[in-house]
Amino acid sequence: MRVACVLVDHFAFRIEALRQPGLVKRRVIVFQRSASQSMVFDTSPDMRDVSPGMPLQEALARCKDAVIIEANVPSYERVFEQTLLRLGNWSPVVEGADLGCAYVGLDGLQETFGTEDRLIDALLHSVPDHLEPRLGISQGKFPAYLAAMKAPPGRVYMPPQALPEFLAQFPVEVLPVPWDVKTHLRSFGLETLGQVARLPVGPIQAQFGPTGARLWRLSQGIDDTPLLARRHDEEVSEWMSFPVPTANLSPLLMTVDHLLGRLFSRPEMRGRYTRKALISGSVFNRTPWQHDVLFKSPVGDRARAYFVIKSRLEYHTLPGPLEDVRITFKNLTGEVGRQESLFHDLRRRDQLRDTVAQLEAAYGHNPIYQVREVEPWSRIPERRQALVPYVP
Amino acid sequence: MVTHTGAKASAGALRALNQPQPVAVKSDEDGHPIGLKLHGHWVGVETVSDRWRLDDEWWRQQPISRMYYECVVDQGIRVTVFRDQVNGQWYLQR
Repeated sequence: MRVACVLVDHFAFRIEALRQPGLVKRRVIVFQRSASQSMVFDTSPDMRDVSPGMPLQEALARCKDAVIIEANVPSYERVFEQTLLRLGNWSPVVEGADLGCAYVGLDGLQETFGTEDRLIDALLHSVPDHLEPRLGISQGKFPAYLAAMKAPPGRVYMPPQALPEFLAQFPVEVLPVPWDVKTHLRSFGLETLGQVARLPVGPIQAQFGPTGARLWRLSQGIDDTPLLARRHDEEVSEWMSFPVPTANLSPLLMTVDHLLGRLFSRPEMRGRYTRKALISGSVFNRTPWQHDVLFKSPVGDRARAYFVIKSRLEYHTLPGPLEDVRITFKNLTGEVGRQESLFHDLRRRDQLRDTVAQLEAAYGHNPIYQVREVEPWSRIPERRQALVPYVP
Repeated sequence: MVTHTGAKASAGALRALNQPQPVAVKSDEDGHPIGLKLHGHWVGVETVSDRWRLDDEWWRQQPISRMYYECVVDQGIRVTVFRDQVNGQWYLQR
């Protein structure tokens, strides 16, 4: 399986640097607020002593002169999504791994492009130059990722035929295994992939179980993890900026109504319905605002969508003055109806399936459970019944 | 001895129903309940209408050994509680 890894390291920093070119020569920490504390999300490439996931306070203690910026994750995801879409123009199998890292399946594409050089050129040009993409090509995802790490910005690197020799130089930290396993490897004096590869598989598997077998295979350059082609969730989006930042509801609702009109007149929405609307906007001097509106049933007309969004926004407090508003329709579906039928059971099951799909869109999983008898004879009361996920 | 498999529950798996909930109980010298803390309020036990012992799964690392009491509290409401004989804790059984 020939795989290309398209890697943009420090993805968030590079997007921020594009917005504010003055940041390029500064030491920058991009942070993200969580419930209890702020954590480092990304840094500028020259900051070796600060890493993502570190508490912001600790990072600032190590680097007092750093410029700190709050992460705009929806914006990064939007740019990454666009990149994945462009990569999808060249290969049907594109997997978005982490932010800034994508894998592209290359098998069978040579006949389309004639030479691999053309394909490499196309892949590199799918990512804007200022993001300085690196490309690694190898057999399997892991060797391709390491090849991309070794590639200079804007260039490709293809490891030599003897893959174990190429991998031998990398530290065990690059392995996609839990942190405690890496610490354990180091405690055994195994610092590089070469040292792991020289050991027989038996002792490593005995020590670490299935993870040990996997990391040994990876150190040999064998990665048969399949490429998971991303599911393309179709969505349509419209946006509008305000002449001056506003925190009032009436101009916001007026803009929402206008954007809904534009969205429902888009050709993609003809005869189609949406289950979910994502309303977002840039907030003056604050982190961007985002609000999900889930419709009780799919919506296919402007008036009904406006009524639902208006009733939701009336009880929502804006975090600050909005500079612009974007509405994105997600989970698009075909026409839905509630027509009565002679076959009531069939119709009811369809409606239930539709309702469950709606709830899955809202919660990310099916939250409907059914009580089933498991061990009705059990003397232990809590063993008699259980909840099983409901499948209509 | 059969050890616990360590398997964790997941969203797609069966979910136990009517799991016993820890409850605060005042007991007399014989260990019989005389008061329960329900919804943050202490209620007196008017009478214990039934009691039975349940021993099971003695072959596991954590055997089940419970002393059940069916208590009648205020306004004739019946509540079933048990004392876990292994760890001494009281639980409300639904």
